[in-house]
Amino acid sequence: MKPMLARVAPVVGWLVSHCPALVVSGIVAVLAAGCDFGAPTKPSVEFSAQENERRGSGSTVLGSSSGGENPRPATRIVVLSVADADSLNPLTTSVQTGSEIVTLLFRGLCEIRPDLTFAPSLARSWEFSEDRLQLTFHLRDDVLWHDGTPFTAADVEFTFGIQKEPAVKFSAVAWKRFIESCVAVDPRTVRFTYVRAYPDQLADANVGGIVPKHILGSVPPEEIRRHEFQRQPIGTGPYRFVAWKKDQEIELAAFDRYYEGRARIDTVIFRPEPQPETRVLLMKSGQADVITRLAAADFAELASLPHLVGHALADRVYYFLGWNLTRAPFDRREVREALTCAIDRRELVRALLSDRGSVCRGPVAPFLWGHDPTIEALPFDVSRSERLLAAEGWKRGADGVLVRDGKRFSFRMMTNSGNALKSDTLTFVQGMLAKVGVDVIQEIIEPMAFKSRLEQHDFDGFVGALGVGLKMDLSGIWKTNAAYNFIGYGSKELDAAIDEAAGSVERVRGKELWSRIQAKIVHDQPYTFLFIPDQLNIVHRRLGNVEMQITGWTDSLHRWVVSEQEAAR
Amino acid sequence: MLDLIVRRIAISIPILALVVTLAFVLVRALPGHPDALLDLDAAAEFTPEVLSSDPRRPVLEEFADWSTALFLRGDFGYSTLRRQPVSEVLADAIPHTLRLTIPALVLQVLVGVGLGIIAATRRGSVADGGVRIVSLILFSTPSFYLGIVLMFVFAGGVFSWLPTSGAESLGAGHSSLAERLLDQTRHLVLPVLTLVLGSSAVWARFTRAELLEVLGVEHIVAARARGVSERRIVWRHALRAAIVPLVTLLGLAFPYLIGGAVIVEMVYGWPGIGRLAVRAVIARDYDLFLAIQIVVGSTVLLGNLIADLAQAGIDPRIRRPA
Repeated sequence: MKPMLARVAPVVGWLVSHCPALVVSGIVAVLAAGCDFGAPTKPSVEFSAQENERRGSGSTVLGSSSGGENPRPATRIVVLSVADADSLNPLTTSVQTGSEIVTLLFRGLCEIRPDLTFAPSLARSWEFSEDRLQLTFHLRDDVLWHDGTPFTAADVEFTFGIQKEPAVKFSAVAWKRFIESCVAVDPRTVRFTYVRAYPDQLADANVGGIVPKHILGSVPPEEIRRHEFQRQPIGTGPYRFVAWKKDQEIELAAFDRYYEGRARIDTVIFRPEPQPETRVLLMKSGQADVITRLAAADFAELASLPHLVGHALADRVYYFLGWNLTRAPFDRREVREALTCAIDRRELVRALLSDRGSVCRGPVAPFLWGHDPTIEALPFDVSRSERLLAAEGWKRGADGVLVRDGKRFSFRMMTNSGNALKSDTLTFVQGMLAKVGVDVIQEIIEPMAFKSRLEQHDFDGFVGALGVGLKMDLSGIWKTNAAYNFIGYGSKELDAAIDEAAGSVERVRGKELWSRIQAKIVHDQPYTFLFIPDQLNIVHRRLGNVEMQITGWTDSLHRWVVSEQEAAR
Repeated sequence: MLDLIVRRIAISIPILALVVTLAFVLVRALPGHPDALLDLDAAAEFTPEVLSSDPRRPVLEEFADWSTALFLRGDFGYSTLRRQPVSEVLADAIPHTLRLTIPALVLQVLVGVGLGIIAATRRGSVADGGVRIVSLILFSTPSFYLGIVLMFVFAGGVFSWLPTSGAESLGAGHSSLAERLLDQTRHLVLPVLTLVLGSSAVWARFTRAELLEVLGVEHIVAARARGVSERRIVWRHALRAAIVPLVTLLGLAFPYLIGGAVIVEMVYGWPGIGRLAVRAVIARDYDLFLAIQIVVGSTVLLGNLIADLAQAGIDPRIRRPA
């Protein structure tokens, strides 16, 4: 065999040294010819222009594909997200981007207002029976699925049934546990029956977008999580699905026949961008219009630019230190109080969040009706902390670290990697506790390993962040056997108090009960409550009517507008 | 030669099986599992309303099911991360990675070997010093840093000449073929440049060292003494001898075509295999991660096979039985 490579190599070497430009341009040409032009996923149903006209779509106001009397340039916005969606089916999505997009594609029976009261959506009205065990919804008669099929009560009944199917693993299935049945009384009426009366009955019935029976009705529940529908969804929301190029973009278009009127922005593109630096650059250069949940430093930089506007609102997350109450010395309330008093939480908000946030005072978020504003956080008071620790028998050793019975006050505090705010918090806390003679060893571990250690109660302390739901309920965290009670806190009395408060239909009484529970938890300090960061979002100045609410920033996106001068951009 | 090919393939199969089994055991040994429903991109690591997960099955049972599906039905399984069959996910991502790594590999070899030749033939000159210093700097610069610096300079920070990230512009599916070609080429420039700058430094230094060694051996000295021109000595004699280890290096670089651009893909948001592999591990998407292992493992073995064959082609001593 003639050594081909040996012949070719000198030629290649000569080409590189004598005419590199030729080589480079040749390669680019060859590569370009071999480019991948894989077509994006197309929806199974799309209206043609003629079809839209036949169906009488409202296209005269806005320049949609069906044309109009006074068409204006099509408007498009680009939204940046940290990661791609997992699914666009409201039954199966479990990540933030997925939930945000699903809100635009699917509607629920009610819309949640910023003050967490309910407004009509797919349901025109609703009423409770006298014993509050039945809730009847009266549905709109002008709602269409994106494929043109009319929406009926049968879709609501089907959705409830499929949400309760264990194989579907609907993430909010716990909300449905007190609902016994959901029955379509007639095509416009649907009735929910409860096992008992409690304050959040409406919220529980409402949670989760309604899915189409005519598409998913014939799919076995165990197939739902793999069904094509999650990649090509058909909903009743203001936007319809157009295309999804995985890890690149998800394109949505305004649904012409949305029952509350067509959305003003024609196209919304969600673009996953894993790198924070890249996301900031894309916003700076005007290539993207919306970015959410920014770090404080990036927010300050972007908000100072003339073409961008900042929107800050309290986030539904609080940060805390969790103590393992099954281990000494954290089993002592006085020790936990001393640790909390040694941490300047106001300073954490200033240094870590650039004052974009507030000190967290207890387990109930301020936006929930059960929040008691009179409950104060423990003060930052180093001398009180030192007094408490001394009373517990801790004395300073030669190296400045507290010692008791020959044992140093030294422990590991863990958190997960991938969240800079948590690791920065850990560093600050380490410094603050060192001042009272407590030695903290940092342990930053991979997220799944972190969760696994929490579940096995294998830790001394951890920096955690807890997502707060829109319902007034503490049972998922603070009851003795709650799935997320990693710290070993609780008592029978507290469990009973939480049950009583959660079942109290009367708000005044409920508020009183929740107040007592909060006071008890703050007194016990099983967590050191740290701070609630603001959700820092930036939008392009060309966007108008922008409202961002605590229920989810995409909830009102269908009401946003692009200013006409900028629309041709 | 045929004998060599058969022997090498026969050895490759058990190696691949071992690699896959090890990958299976290691990935299952990690804490967590795909049903944990953990939103790694959200700020909060747990929200009370989210349901907890299913119990796990014994590892051996899972391995039996998975390997039966793979070897009997050719089924790579189902990606829990992307919610679609793994084969579809790979078919989607591999072309993107190849579009990035093939030009990068070709360019880094051409540029690196070219610079190595220049440095070796002009030993001690300014050009030689320049190549050595620049290649040392580039070799020592991590690609995530280089990528961000290039992005800052050319894509928004200083100049806005090139796109920041992605494989093509948003909504590019609606533009003409020519526009799309241009757009895709523009998107290629920075990630390819990042890969080429870092890696061509290795090639340059390696080529220089090999060539200098060969240029000192007796038959080259003899050729010089016979009055053979310097150009002929370098191209005809020295480079031919120096190319054998370079071919080995090329064989080792081959698997990088599929799995080597992890960091650059992350920095530039490139929708290829590297970025997918990182997400698959974090999300404990076992089937997807193992499929990537199989593909990358096979490419390593294939690369070695090609390198061996090419060496045998160039150097007759290798293909003769010992």
